[in-house]
Amino acid sequence: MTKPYRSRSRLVLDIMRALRESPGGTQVTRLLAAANLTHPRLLEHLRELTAKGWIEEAGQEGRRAWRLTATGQGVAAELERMEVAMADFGLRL
Amino acid sequence: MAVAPWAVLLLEAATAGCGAWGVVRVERLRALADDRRLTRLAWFFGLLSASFLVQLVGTALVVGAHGRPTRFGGVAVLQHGLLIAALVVAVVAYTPPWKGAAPVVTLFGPAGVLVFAEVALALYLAALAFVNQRRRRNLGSMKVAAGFLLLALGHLGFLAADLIQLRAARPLWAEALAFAGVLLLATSVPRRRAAL
Repeated sequence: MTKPYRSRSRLVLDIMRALRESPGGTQVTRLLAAANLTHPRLLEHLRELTAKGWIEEAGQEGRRAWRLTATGQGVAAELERMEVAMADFGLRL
Repeated sequence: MAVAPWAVLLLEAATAGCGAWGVVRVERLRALADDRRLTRLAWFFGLLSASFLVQLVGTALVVGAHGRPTRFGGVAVLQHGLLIAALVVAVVAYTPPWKGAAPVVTLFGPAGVLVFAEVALALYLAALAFVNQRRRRNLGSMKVAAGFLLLALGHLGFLAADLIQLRAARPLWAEALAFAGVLLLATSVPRRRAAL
């Protein structure tokens, strides 16, 4: 059976939702589970989101972790509005 | 009742403007996260807007001719082509498009077939949107469903005018329905907050 298509914005929203759940910082294992990606692909996305200023690194006890920035909080809220609007059109984000 | 030609022109311009507004709204959202469904939505609004813009040119040609015969066949074909392309893009965004496609109806003649296709595609989208609305039961999905329905009804008006040979090929009330439909669809795309 083919896997359902997951858009880029859906993926970004999944990552950002996982980050929002732990304001202090989310470690990579939790993000891997939430985003359902391979480790290199996840790091690629995290680098991109960091470069955009939507997330930032927040080291936790010597382990790498990430959290949403203030801009990222706003972007996550925008993506959720977009998700609702797309669903209103009968489409999945 | 005679309808002032400027009213039709104004309404067509407003409908084209609404479509363009829809593109702007979708593009601002796409800047946050690109998505092929949003791309299709942007194309839908863009082609819809272009179609009404071309129709505006056609109407202006007819109005400017003051009843003299005009040659605007190319403009009409372009307008129908753009509108059908817009609706096809929207249909593709929803579902594999050609499943259960109805056979071509030739009852309406060469020009009528184009309008018939537009009505059928818009009604199909309206039906999908209403099924979605029954599930979601919120204002946004109701607006989308109503938008596609009004767009379809507007073009049904053009088809009826063509079939029963009304004096105006594009009656004002049908233009108004199409305008209201595009307006509802464009306002269903959320406005991006300026702060981001």
